Amino acid sequence: MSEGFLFTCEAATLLCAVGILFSRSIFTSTMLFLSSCLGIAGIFYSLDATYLFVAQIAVYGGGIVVLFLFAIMIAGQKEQTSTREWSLTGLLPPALLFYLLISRIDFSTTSQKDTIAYTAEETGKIIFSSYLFPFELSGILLLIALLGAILISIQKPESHEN
Amino acid sequence: MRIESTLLIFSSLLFCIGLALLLNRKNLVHLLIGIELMLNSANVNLVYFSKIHGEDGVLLVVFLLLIAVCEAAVGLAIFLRAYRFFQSSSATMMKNIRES
Repeated sequence: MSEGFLFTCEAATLLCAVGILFSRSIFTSTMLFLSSCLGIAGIFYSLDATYLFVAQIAVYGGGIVVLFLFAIMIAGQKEQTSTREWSLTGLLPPALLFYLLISRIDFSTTSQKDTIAYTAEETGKIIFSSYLFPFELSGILLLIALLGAILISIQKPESHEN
Repeated sequence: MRIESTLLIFSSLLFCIGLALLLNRKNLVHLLIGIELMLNSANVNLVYFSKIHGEDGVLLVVFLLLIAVCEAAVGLAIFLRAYRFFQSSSATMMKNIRES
């Protein structure tokens, strides 16, 4: 895969993420989040992880962003912030963390040529051979999380509001 | 500088943007988006390292995607419950929660 595609995906993802930080409308933020997730899917594709490329689009574009939109639909969009929410004191800790992370990166490592490309076929083989039990367990975890979400958000008939 | 080091810079920058979202914004949906961005940056790192070293980091990303879905579902359920109670989606409303 060409390096230009990877750079484009990285730049688009970062631009969308910064846009989330400074956007005033929650709907715009969700759409920018969707585009940054699509950019990350492009990065997965250029790293030869094709299964993750499809899974990222399906999970984030089809699942999580729809859940966010559902929540916005329920809660309404009336609370648009008129004043800016970010401040310099709030941006200082992430900047310091970024400096710390960058200073620890070892730029001298290069990739070996004979590594496995994790295509969809290879990933499926690994999932259903050596990682079968954790995969089934994660299905049970998903079921429990869905039941918990229903239990939390259900409105009991006897409880009175506020 | 090679392509690999730009990916590491990218993922650390994405993580810091997610942290900045968590620290600055007040809307609960914004906080959830920040957590998802931090998870995504970790995923990019894992895929990159599995490409370099040939370990099964890709499988870890598959499980992390499942965890992200669970977290979003439960987090949005909590958001809906809090919105119904406080009639506001601001996280500052929730600082008054005490066990009576």
